Amino acid sequence: MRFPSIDLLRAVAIALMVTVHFVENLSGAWGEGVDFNRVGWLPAGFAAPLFTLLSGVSYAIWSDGLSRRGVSDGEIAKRTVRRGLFLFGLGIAFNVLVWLPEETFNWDILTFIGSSLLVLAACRTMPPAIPPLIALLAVAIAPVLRALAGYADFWRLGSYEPDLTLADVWLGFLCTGYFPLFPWLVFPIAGYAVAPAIFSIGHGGTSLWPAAISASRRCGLVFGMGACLLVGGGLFILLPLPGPDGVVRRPWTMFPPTTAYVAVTLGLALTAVTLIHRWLDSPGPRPIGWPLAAAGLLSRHSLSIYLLHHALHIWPLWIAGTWQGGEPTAFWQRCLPPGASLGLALVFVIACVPLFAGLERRGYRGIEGLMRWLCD
Amino acid sequence: MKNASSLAKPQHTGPAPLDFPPEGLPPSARLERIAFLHTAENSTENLPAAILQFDDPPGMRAVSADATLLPGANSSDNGFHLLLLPLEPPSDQPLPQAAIDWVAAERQAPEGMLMLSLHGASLAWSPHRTAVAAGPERLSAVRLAIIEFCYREMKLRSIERGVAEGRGAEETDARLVFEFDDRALEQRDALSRRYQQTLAMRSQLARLMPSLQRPPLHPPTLAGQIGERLRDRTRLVDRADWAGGELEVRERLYEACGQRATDWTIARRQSTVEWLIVLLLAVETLLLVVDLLASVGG
Repeated sequence: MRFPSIDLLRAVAIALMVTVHFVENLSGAWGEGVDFNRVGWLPAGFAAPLFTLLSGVSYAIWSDGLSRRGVSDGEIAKRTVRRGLFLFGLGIAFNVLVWLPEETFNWDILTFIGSSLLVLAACRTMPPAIPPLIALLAVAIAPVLRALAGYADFWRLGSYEPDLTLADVWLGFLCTGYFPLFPWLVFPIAGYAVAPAIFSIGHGGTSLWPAAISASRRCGLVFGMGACLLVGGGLFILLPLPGPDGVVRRPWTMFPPTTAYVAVTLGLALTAVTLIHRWLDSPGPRPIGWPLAAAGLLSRHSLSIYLLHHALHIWPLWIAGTWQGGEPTAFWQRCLPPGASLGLALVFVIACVPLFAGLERRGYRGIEGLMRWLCD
Repeated sequence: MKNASSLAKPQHTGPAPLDFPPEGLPPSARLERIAFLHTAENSTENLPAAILQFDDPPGMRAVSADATLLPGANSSDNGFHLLLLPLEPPSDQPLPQAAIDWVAAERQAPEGMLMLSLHGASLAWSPHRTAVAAGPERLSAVRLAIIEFCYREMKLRSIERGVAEGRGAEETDARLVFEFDDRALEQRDALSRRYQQTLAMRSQLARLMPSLQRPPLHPPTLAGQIGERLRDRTRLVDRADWAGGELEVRERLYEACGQRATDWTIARRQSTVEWLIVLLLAVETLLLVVDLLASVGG
């Protein structure tokens, strides 16, 4: 079952991701005129948390649908593991092909979502109280893990640059990469845990949410939790505390994902999902017509769009760099002014709508179809 | 006025409408509505005098009811219509055809209408209509015997209906004895309710059995023999045994389901505690591993 609210939010998330990547890779995140830590760029940090939270929500809805159709738990687990491994493998291949072999283990969002699917497959077998606890622990121990691993040593000018050793690869996967398990695991697990409350489904009958509470109250409860996280995290950001060395720390950073960042983005994602679900998923005529259809199209092909937009804006950089001076990364982050990059991103997102509509009409199922064909 | 043949028209639901007196009955014929009412549910001032009192449940009484006055007295589930025909001598005349047709017009009895003739009294019985013809001196005792029989039969039919209604759920629930899972936990309240209903029916049946299996009175009376013959012909004891057998199986099933649900809930709680321990160990291991990796990498 597809929910328009999920489609819309996933479309927003993928559009934001495309925008961030175009501007960051073509114009530079740390160059003149662009700083991702500025307030104006706050929505950019919202894309990945929203996308990963929605992956958890979608997984809960997908597995519940299979369970209702009589598919056994074992079969659902197998499909989940196959999908997780497919995404993980795709993420590694993507790193090699798009970011070149030296960036194979930079732990991008695809490898993270693949890994999180494996964790979610395990969550299905756990008592309902355990997954939220894992999510809490993932946030709580992430700063400790980063401190133990020496997070700052792996990052140079906003880029993750580990040595190609087994220890660094594992540390990147766990806590120092772009999207490490800790604390990012909180988003898909939170999505998985709140989906029954918002969308009135059950994880094969197990739910954290008592059936005695009405659907609207459960939704309100999730909204309240989201609002508390948003306000609590916001207060941390607005009232930064001085560190032990007297230097005031900025608590809003995506790399590393600080606890305040996680709280605010998780709160924002939860409130957005509940509000837009109440707005769009109620029975009756939809408040908006073609924008919702376009959002549905972007959502259905979000994985293809994610891969395609990287290939479209990164490969020309590598080719031009190699052609001009032999260094593939010569034009990376200094190819275009930020305004032009932003314009290109918008053009790409808009062009995706007719492109994928046309491909759908021709029966093209994209990388999503390949995943279903291989894994289901 | 409709004739007897029009009374025999098939009805889709419930007893046929009462048109009384049917053509062909003597003017002394009397129709009464017998209702089985509980004193707890009706104020005693409004209740007519009890014709019979029952001790199962205590306070239950049979009254000759005016349907317009007593709430629930006209329900087909708690009473019946009794057509009394006092016979002039010689009192061995058969039951008039019009009375038989009137009883036969009720389509609720699956086994159809039951006819009985004994020592000059004759009767036609169906679950909600009974016609009896007897000499005036015997009619009162026969009436009491019929009322008592109808009460027991109605109770048994109510239990049989409950047993039949639960068969579908019973077949579905049988798999839960071995396959209790997360989804089944949502049905725990329904399972508990069905178990309680089964126990209630078994209890009602247990209280009913002594009255069905009591020995014949000595010396025999016409009323006693009519009651006994009616019990035999409607196979009340056998039906009670069959219902009891089915209820016994159902009770065992829901006992097993209840045990399974309780075991599963306890196991789930233990599993949560075990998972908590596993999580704490995993966190500790993770911290150690990251520390180790960092020292190796550094």
